[in-house]
Amino acid sequence: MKRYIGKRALSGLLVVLLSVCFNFTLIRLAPGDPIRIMAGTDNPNEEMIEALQQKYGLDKSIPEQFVMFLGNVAKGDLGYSYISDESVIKLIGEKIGPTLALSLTAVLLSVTIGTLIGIYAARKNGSKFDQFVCSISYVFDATPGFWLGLMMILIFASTLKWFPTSGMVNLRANYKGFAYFADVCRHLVLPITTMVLTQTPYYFRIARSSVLQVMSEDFITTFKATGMKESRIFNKYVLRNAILPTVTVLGMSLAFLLSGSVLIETVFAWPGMGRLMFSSISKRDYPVLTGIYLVTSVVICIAMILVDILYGFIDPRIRYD
Amino acid sequence: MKFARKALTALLALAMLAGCSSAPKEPAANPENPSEGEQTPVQGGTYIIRQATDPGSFNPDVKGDDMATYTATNVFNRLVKTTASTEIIPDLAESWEFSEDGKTLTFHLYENVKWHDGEPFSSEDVKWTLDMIRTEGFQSNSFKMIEEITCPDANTVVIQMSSPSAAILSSLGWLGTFILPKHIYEGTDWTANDANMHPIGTGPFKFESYEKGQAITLVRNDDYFMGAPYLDKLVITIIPDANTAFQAYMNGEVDDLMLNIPSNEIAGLKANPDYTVYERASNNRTYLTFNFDEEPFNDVRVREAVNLGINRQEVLDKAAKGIGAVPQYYMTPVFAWAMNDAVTIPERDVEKARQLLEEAGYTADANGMYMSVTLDLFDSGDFKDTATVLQQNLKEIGIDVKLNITEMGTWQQKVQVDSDYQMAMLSGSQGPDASAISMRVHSAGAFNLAHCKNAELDALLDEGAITTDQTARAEIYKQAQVILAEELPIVPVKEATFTVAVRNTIHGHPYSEEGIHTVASNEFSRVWVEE
Repeated sequence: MKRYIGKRALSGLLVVLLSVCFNFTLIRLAPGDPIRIMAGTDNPNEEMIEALQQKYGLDKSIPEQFVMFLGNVAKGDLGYSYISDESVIKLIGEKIGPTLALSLTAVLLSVTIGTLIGIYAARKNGSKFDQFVCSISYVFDATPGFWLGLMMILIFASTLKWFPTSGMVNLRANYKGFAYFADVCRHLVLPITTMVLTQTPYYFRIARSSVLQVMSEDFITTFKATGMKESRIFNKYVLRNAILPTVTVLGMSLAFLLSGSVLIETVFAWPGMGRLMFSSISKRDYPVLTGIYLVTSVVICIAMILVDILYGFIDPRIRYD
Repeated sequence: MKFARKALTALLALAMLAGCSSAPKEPAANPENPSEGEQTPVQGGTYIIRQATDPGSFNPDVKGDDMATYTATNVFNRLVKTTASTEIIPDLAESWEFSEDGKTLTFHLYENVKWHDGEPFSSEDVKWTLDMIRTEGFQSNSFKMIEEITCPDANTVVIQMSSPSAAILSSLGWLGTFILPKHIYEGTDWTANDANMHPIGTGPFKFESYEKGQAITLVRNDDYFMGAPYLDKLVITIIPDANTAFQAYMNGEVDDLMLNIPSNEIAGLKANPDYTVYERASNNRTYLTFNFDEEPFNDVRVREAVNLGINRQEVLDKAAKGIGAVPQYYMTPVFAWAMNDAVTIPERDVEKARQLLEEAGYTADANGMYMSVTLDLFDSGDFKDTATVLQQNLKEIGIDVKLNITEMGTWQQKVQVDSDYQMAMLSGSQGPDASAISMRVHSAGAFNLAHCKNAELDALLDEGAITTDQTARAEIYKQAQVILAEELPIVPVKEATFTVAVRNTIHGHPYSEEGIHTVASNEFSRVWVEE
């Protein structure tokens, strides 16, 4: 086991290094120059543009810039944003809390609701309930999140006035302590509901189809033939086998959690990582982008290793020696 | 000394006329508007303005950043400031005068001005800031004529110039010229000083906090030298999506969208008795420019055909939903004193346009097309819709236009840096002074995308920049318009207007009648809200 984890960690490190190398080069090869974008079309100043390009080392070749970047990363320094001159680590760090509050809650709710309904629908395969949730799941699966978000705002904020339109806190009130927490929760309801509605169908279908698939396997038929109780077969043998695909996709979702959800964060003005990444792309804020890619790829590698280890516990057929 | 002030007064009067004439309807639309009465201002309250994205830094002089403008205008002061009707009014400088030769400009500053940290403000702060701005600031281009700045006493600043400048006051009242505290910045790297994220100014509001992606909070400065503002707090909230922002506005979570009301919502607000919609002339215009170095637009007849072929009224109606104006002159009409009525933009003439293309040696193919060209534009505002209308217009004169729509960074690389384009569309401020046109059409202009090289035009623009007599200046720019009409480095497509909605319970708004002549265009120091 230990050796396996060591091997995985090493290959993970290699993957991180490769992906950072790719991302670093690709974003800099894309047309567009951060300093020129900053200068705009109102009154761009050539001397200023050149001075800033020199200051940020943009006049050097990409390999030179990459070597400088690696040297700094080795010292734990991800560099400074071209736009705000603030430390990239600080900029990313500030976004982790709000990103997780939104995306992690939404993923956990979606996986729980989706899996439970999926299992139930599979047990009642072909029933009215099964038909109903299946068709609903297709509807929400096909609904674009940003549109659903706007509809939620129109219905629950603008018309019914139940929830705030956007943002994370009420800017007129100066809430502290528990009142602040409750206020953030109120602001979370609409974006989380939107995300849960669009993500649940995914977990629902995976749970439903894998339960159905396991139930049609020969060993289940054999159990049934021996006269074993239906509920015992289901809880002890079907569930345990059927849960594996859910763990896999949950692992994937958790791995990409930190990169946030650009569209939902934008529609609800939620201060998450997705928006930071999006604005950094349009402004070509290379250091921030490279920083986000680095952090994201590290998290993905760690999540993948954890999922693999988890498999070992859930599925006794898998052993790492 | 007197002539420049007189000229300025004339300019301001014209600007006022321009401002008023563009908004003649609102008093009639709201005859019983309660905001026009003699009410006692209400003290207190939180006022929330929306902007789309985060600011980079709160040092407003280093890099151009629209997202720092609300904060900068309310935390800092300039020597002079520009109102929403483009008048120049006193800010830190109570008065100013030019010497007889026009090369010396003396500012007399307000007394008893204090920085937000309690330190006294003086002419030394002005000298230090202006010296930084003219060497390292993003507006350094505008202050090349300054030779030396001196401080005879704590309340006087003297600017010595190498040549007279007609534009210096407008430039000082524009962006990138906010006076910074010398005692905090001197001897440090002004791009990385801690004060850039926690600004200390002299303005009506003090900086309190900034939560990224959420809001910037400013609080009332009780010691403001022009009198404390009415509001307790001014909050600038960050909402990226325009539709969400509009819902938040209608739900009362945001008090002000400023210039960013979705164009399809404006008609609804105009009809709503609770709001007053102000439309003010803007110096921003959308225009086409051409690559002068390559076929087919190296031939002026082809550029003329495009100029004759586009239907500006249709662009305004269909793409801009009627928000804006049809351009009539080759320079922005905001500078009404410089408009040449003899060379206005011609009416659409499809026949003549086709004839010009024939004369240029092109022959129509089976579909009636003389040529196929590419129009490069970036995705911004109503650009896509505008380009679609233009595409249809030009098809009618026999030019098949392919649209190449990218994001701004890609567009800049292709059009501005590599000059790898045929026809491009963009918009941009044509101010703050009439001389700003140089940047776009002078052979040495920083943003001369067309690579226009006309010695006569260059000479006129050079002269216009150093002439201070308004009548003489007007003559120069009128001549320049004759050449602009012949050369066509830019083909104006649409004039922008500043469209702002103000709830009737809000008073002293910078775009309202109460604020249009008295505060800077983004200043909220005189705003108060009825309970």
